[in-house]
Amino acid sequence: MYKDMNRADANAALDWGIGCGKIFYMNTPSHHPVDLYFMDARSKLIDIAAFMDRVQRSGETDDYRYQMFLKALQGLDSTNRAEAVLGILSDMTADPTQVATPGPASGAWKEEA
Amino acid sequence: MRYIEPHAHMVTRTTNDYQSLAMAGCKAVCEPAFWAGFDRSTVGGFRDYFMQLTEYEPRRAEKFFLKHYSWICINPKEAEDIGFAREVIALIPEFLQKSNVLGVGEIGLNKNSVNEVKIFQEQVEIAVKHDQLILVHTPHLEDKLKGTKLILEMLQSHSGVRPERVLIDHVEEHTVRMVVDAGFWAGITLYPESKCTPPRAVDMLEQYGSTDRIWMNSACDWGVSDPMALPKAIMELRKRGFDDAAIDRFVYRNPVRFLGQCPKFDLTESDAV
Repeated sequence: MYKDMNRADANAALDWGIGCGKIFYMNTPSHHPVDLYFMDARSKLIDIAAFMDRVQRSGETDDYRYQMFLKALQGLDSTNRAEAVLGILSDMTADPTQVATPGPASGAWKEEA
Repeated sequence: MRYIEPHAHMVTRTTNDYQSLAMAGCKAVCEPAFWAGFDRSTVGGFRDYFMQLTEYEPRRAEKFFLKHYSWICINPKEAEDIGFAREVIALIPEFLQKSNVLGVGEIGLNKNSVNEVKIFQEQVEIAVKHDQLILVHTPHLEDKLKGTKLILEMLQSHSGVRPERVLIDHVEEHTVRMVVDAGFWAGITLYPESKCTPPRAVDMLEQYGSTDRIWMNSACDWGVSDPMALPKAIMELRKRGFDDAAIDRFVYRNPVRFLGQCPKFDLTESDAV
């Protein structure tokens, strides 16, 4: 049945088949982003949804990192989404700080820090 | 496929990793001086580390037919104590004479503090004075954008800095354009979590790879990192339809062109595949 599929379907079936430990009909690999990355992005999207549910259940929604995370989601409405998300999470001040803050970077800028 | 690992902290890795790199096609490993995971308490601690980078690691790599090069500096994370940092800086000229040292690095900023800025500028001065290549670390996560802007301002305001002899590392989507537009080299670091994944790296190569001033590295160290990140990125490039010549440019010829500006780097673009 797989040899009658188009390339995208065959690749999806191939990916699924490898995931199940089976070997299906081999086709020329696709270079199309949706073929290559849809399942990965879908998985990450569900991870994000589950993370937000988890934070809500734990009552940590006031954490500045979570608040910045919510703000960064707005970057998805941009045309340069990766750049926009990274920008929203960044320190946008211009001058060097007087003293290096202790500890590692947290991943989200805390304005009052 | 041949490639160069232009940024790896091999002192933190096992000998098995050298073996894996060699078996994957790596021809040379370049190791910048960096933070050990803890602050060193004496200048002697740095001297020992610089000896390790210039004497011991090349021998460890050689067992697997790998060339090993290093960079010397005090990293920004240990720059907050200015007096101590200056004592370490005083060691640098001696080690720049070593046969495997390519330049001054990875200098840069970590938390974008006033003292980090001072020590960065002083090390840029050393590099210019000794006509050395410069490798720059940009800060992590939320500090990267501001730090990269500060670094670019400082480098561009120094009349002795030649952008083509400076690589600014750990660029991401929000910093890569400003680096390449300013004429500097850009390094993309492949980290499982905190920096860049292979698909994102290939996105940037698609957009900025034509500048020929860009490379990828694993920056593998003692943290969550992967010395096999570059072979994985090569696979990603293949998935995206890049041919062997284009991949060779990104992972071998580009690093050779930048690093070859130092006469001690003795691989050439035409070396055997």
